[in-house]
Amino acid sequence: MALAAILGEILKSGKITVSTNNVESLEIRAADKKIDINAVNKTIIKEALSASRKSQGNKGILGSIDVARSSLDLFKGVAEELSEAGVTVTLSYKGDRVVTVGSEAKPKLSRFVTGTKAIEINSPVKLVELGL
Amino acid sequence: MEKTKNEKSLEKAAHGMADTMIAVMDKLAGKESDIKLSFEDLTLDMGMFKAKINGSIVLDIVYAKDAKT
Repeated sequence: MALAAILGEILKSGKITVSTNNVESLEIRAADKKIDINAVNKTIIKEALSASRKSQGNKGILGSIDVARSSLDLFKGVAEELSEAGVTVTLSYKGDRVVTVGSEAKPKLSRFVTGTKAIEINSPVKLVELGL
Repeated sequence: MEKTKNEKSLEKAAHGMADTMIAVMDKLAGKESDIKLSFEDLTLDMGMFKAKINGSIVLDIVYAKDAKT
């Protein structure tokens, strides 16, 4: 079971706020096997993504495509395990839902892009804005 | 003892998360940065162990410079 699915099982309810330098960046709310991650400030998400890409090393264009493909495969695996565990994780930006992952995801066209029914893209525009 | 497929994927996910966390902390280091985690009625249930957490944890990120020899 993926770490996210285990967290979904363990976190019963409540709220976690992540702030950097006294600026609120993320709000994580958990209730009934649903976890909503609301990015209040997109800087931390962008920094986390760029840091994670940097930690995988600079591998050129073909290497970047391989990294992106393996990241999507990993994300798909996590989404499907969340779905099997009955856990839903949503990512929102300033309160607007961007992506739904797990059991309550109901993808339409995004299913052909992601190759799984466990990932629903609610707002492609906000997704691009967050740099995901 | 050989690890199961689930244990291996859990280990891989935990390593990925730790690598990202280290990289973020590295980026914030040296800028008098801090990361504050605030918990509000956070209820955890791990079977035998149940807990309700309120309060906050502050991670002050400070790196010491290497001494010149």
